[in-house]
Amino acid sequence: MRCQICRGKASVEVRQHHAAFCPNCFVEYFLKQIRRNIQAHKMFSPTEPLLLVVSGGKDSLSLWDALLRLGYNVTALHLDLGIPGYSDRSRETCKSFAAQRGAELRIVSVDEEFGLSIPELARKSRRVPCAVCGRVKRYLFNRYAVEGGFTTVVTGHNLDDEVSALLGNLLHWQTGYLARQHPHLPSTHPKLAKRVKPLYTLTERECLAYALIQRIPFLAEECPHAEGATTILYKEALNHIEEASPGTKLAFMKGFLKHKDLFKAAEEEVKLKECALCGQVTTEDVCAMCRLRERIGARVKISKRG
Amino acid sequence: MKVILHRPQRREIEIPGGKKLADIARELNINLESHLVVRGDTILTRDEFIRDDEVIEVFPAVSGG
Repeated sequence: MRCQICRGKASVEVRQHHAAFCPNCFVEYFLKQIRRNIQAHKMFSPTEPLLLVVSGGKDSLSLWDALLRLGYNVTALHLDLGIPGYSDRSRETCKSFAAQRGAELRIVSVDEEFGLSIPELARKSRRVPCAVCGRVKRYLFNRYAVEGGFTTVVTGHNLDDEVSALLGNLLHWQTGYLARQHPHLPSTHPKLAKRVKPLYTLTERECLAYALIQRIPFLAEECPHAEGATTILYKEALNHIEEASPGTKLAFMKGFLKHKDLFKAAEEEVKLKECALCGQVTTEDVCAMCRLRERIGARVKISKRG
Repeated sequence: MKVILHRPQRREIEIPGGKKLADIARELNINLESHLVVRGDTILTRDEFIRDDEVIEVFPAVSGG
């Protein structure tokens, strides 16, 4: 197989584009896709202060590497979830990448914020860890971005993340979620940072290829709570279809964005206000995070970050 | 040839080589849309011929997200 750019020996096949690339041309292709997504959806300008959420996995570290190479003004934020062993290795992986690239990394500990780790919050609230984790992450990332003067929260969600969420939302007719799913969610309140996903057209496999080629020291280990997650089932099902019919995932995503207005009627008119306890954006008087904390007796941190 | 797999746990298996990666993947039920196969430092395309004395490593791309 030959590289479609330089005609050298191909290494990475990208069947959804009927293409194959040598390692160097693949890196160029990957960076070009990211730059094109950022521009096509007007995600952010070259000088805007970005807060990139990093877990230590291949997707977020590949995006961090790519944004640094493309010259964006990026600061990374890692959330220490307090999951024994796994969180220590995730944090150290992010620290080692930052040190290697001379990049800016900030670390926030869930335990220091709430006095409880993710597994403890889940146990006390009698919820599954992934549900609690998602809520805590969205809350802390937004609060940190707003208080730190960052206009944009950037996440490493890739094409597989997006199409598996889309499939899940369609299977359960979550029309409200479908109305809101987009690679660029603009800010609708001064205390709500916009959220963007520059990797939304790139597959997990492409992110892994980029990480291996660039020798990014990512954490290959899966979160212990992700085992048996429905997301993985949907991803595997979609990859079976993709194997037989290359380009299905990308067409699914692009088709959804093209026909997104079909779900406009399900978009509820929400009035955003500030939580009476922590001041963060909510649709209720007290935000979901503070309600959770009050119910389980976790610490409520109100003071503004310095 | 030796195949190193990484999930659910790291393990090594021996299978007869001398065939293309696409055939090996089919034999081992590995979906090449959700895995990358590497020989040494090089990522392999599905038409790559793998000799009987070679070692390949299979990396899963799917994560819980």
